[in-house]
Amino acid sequence: MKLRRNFAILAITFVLLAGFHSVAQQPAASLQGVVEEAGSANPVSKATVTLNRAGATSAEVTRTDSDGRFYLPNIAPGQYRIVVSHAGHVKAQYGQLHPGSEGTILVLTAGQRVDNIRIEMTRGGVISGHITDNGRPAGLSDAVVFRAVYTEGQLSFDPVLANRSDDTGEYHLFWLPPGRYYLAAVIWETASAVGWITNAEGTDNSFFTQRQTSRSVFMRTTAGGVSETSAHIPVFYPGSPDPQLATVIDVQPGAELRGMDIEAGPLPTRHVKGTVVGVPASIPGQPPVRVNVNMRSLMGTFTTNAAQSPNANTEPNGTFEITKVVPGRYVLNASAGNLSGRTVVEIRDRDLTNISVSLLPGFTVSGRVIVERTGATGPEPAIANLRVGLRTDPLIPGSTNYSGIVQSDGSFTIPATAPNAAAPTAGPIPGDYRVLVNPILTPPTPAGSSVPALPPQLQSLYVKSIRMGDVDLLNENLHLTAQPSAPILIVIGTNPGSVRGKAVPGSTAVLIHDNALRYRVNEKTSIADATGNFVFENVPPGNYKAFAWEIVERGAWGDPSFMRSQEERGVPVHIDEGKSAIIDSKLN
Amino acid sequence: MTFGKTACLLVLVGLAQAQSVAQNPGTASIEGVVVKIGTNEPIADADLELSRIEGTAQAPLNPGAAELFSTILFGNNPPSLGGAAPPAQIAPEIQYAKTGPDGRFSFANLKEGRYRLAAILVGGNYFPAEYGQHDVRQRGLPFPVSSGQAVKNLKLEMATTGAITGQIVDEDGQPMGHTTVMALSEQYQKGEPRWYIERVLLTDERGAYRLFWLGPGKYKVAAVYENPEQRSVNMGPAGPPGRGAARYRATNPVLMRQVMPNGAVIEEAYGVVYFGGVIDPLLARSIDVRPGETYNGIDISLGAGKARTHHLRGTVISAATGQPAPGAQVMAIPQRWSPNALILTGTTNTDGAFDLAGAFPERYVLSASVAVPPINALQPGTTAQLQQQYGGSSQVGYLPIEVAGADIENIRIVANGGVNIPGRVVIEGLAPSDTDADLSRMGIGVVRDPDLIAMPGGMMPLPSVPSGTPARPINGQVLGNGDFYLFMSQGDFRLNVGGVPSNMYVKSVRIGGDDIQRSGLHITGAVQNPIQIIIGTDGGTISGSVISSTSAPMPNSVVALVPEAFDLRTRSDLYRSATADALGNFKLNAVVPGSYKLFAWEWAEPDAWQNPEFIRPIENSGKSVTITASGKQENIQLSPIMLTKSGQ
Repeated sequence: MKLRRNFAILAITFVLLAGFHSVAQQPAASLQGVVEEAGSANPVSKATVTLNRAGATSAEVTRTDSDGRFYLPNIAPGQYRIVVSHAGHVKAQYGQLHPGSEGTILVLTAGQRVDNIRIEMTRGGVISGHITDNGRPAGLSDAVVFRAVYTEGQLSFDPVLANRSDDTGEYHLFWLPPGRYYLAAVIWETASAVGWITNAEGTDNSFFTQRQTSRSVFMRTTAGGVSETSAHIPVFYPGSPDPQLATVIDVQPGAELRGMDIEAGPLPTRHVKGTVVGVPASIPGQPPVRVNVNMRSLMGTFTTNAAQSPNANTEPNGTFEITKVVPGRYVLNASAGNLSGRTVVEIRDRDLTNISVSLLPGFTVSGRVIVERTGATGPEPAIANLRVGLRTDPLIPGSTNYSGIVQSDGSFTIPATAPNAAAPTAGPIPGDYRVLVNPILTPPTPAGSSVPALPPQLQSLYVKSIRMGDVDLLNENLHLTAQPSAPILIVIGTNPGSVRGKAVPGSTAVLIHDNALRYRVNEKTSIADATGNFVFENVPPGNYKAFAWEIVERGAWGDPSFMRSQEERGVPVHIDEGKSAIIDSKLN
Repeated sequence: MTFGKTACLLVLVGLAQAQSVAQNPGTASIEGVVVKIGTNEPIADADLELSRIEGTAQAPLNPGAAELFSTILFGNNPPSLGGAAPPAQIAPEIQYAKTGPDGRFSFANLKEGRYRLAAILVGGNYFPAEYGQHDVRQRGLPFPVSSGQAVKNLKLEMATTGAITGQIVDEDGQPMGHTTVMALSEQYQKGEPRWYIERVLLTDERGAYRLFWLGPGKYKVAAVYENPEQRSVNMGPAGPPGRGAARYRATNPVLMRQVMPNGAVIEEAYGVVYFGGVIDPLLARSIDVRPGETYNGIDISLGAGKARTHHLRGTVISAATGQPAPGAQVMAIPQRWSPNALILTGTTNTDGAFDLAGAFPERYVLSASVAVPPINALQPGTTAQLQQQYGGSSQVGYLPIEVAGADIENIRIVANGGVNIPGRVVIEGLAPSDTDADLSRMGIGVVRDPDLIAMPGGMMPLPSVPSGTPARPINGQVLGNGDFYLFMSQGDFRLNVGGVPSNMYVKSVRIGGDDIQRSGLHITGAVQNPIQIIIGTDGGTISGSVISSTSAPMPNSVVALVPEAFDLRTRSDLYRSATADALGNFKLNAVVPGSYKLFAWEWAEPDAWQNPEFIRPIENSGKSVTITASGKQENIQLSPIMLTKSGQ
């Protein structure tokens, strides 16, 4: 008996070896095709064709000839994706529905000859013009194009491409993928010694961040001639520092948008004076307590100048003066140890005086997390180390996020007090807050970019309810005016549902909350496969709408104005605990 | 066009007059005007920066200011000030002013001391100017201001900047967008002219470029193909001209691979192409940019640099184990110097093998760096023991190689650990001591010869020592008794001695009977004899003044001492140079006894006089001087040699 078993193993080994052997001997496949310009069928020569084998790190690379043709006569059988790139065109993939979308997999079998591959490339667009500074050419300034990004329904900007102007103020932003963009000009107070250009695919914005943080001087002197009474800040096309007044620029394939001139001269700056009330008395023998007062812009623009996020320290008597602030709406934050305070200010055409900010010790909010196990099997999920957070709503840049760690018995306290901390941690001050449960209930990821994956043991968890007494804190804000007397009760569900449906192959399917959580958490997305099927797993029970778009900009569903125009296309879906819902009708 | 000279003289005359103006004792003042060069056209809104770089006994500098000034103003690698306020040590010593519509400026309430005055205009349409320049690229001249003095009518002349424009095309004449274009300016390194990067930018979608805000001077223009998929390009240096360390880039050639219908593979890449259609920077055409001028049509076809490329394949062997070294960093660095070196890089696989693609038919140096393997079950012993066994924490190997028309296979690079070389520095005529202050300020450095961009340095990281063992001195540090130790890689080097007091000179450097000063340091394995360095104290001095043809003093002129014998002119340690002070006086110290020629110019690129091509046409204008041991030559009068200057 024992002998027989060994024989069997040996036999299997032989079969496996034989199998491997025949794989190595498989005749190669051969591939050829043509790269053409979309719409014109003009061949694209000197395009780089990259054949990526699924699961392999190295790739086969060739170039197109003058007829746009490429040849790969010796290819190991397998699954491949073909990517084509060319100066002046948008990177393309074999089988993609539109520029920027995912391509399809090409399966090559032993000895197979595929000679009819056709890949279309879309021409990139150009935006060019002049940047002026009070009418004078602004050399070595930046023109930047942004993709609009909606986070929690608010517009913000994701830089896509940047380039410098020359001494005549002329700039060129070129080979832009078709799309809708915002354009801004930035005149730096001191010219930079560093220069970068971003990736038109938006994957690398090191240039822009570099320029925002490091401004080496061009001048031999250290003066730089920076004005004390004015400041250059980003100016959006056609000519306002307020992004709400920016014009969307629709770049069509091969578009040449010339004469996109921007006057980006400086804004006059103002002073902000006031008093911080409640500054703690200094310890005898120690220097007086100085409270840092900082201002954060609520304009939704990006920061290139210290006058957009200025700060100052208080004098011993609690007064402060911030000497250089560009006009706009700000939140003014002050903090000292566990004391903090804030107020919203708006600066227009004159200095602000008599601003008063009170320092408060903050409240303590505590509560408990309960796991509901109805209908669920398997081991008790580990909720310890979930983090319950309170975040200002609407989001105030630069404000503190208060949080507490969930203990193994489910209890939590905000603010969390570190065991050996020298000073107590600041607690939440009066205001409106969202209750978050990290990492399972978080605000949407900015830029509609990829949502970080949850650890496997947390993937089926969701926040079912958050209550303080009778108040629903999952769909509404915590309105803090005084020390709360009741605890926060958070119920974690463990029995999510799922949704299946059909759409045009390659479409982006999105499952959107049909309640107050819309725009406030990440929506679930899925790509319809080659047969048009899509699926959403681990869907918390509730009411949703499902949408599918063949062509959609990443994260566009976070834009309320876009969604208003699309609302009727959505298919309502109700998900019950542990149930799988099926959408009968094809979505698009 | 009057440029430089006249302006400077005017300024100095102004200063001389001003010095006679009496004022109440106490604070001094300075006033003057900024104009466009060669004109009386005032420049409004110019920023002036006045730095007190030397104090007096009565009015000393702020603590730490002197050191920081010397780093910022004269250091090889000045710190980037980031556009922020100057550091606290020097802030109290710097004052600012702005010119009015009439171009005039003034400073009041000045302490006595030596000052440096610079003018800039935000934006770059004017090249920054300093007081006392003969040439816009030259450093200015610090000038003394005494207590109560009222300095009037200082004049600074600012040159407008120029521009170079053109188009980059490929071999078919098609415009090449997103291609790097560089403006290169000439600098001398040990007498060899080298063209360093002054500005870098990318062409636009039409292949067009505009290099702007160029100071007057000669430029070459180079184009480098960039990967169009990689739109984030580090543009590298673009700082103020003549102020930084060597400015160059190292990038990887962009490989263009084409598989033919029959399966054959052609690999090509673009080399760096210079204006004039050449790939050798020395043969490139230069453009003499004059103030305010724009030079159009400086077009380059990258076709001239397109070539079939080859593979370099082989194995890196660790000398410590005799086994192939996985994970070794391998580079192929072209031996022909270029401000934009196209370097091939790669890493060895688990078999210690590498395959570098993109080699042009030219000479390369292959270098391999191997880290000592991390401690694991197969490598018993502590870090210190392992590093002793491997000869340090890393091993370096290098191999010169010439690529002809084919791939090179089976290359074997042996990576060795560091070599320990003891040495001793002796100051001539000095009794041995263990705590000599002069000796303990010295340090020994080594530079690879040739010194190629991106080559691993000569000094190797010191191995950790087993616990309980005393740590050895820092690599190259000279102790108070003159002893030093080098722990360095194998290869060819030049050795230099730093921190030699200004009245002494390096007399000889020997290993056994070999004269290292003459032949260089060649390490091929263990070194038996120690390095012996003798510091001479019998150097002579030469002093005098630079005067114009009308016997006027020529402040801020450059004086250089060149060995008389042609065979000694490769010895850069024999040259001496100085800048004349405000009265045109100069002094050269620690001159090695021998015969020399002495030259003076209003301005010359630093170390230009070490280049035979520079000296040849003016050989006969040099004044012959012979210096004996501890000898002195005084009151030598020199007249500046006129050079053809940019913008004249």
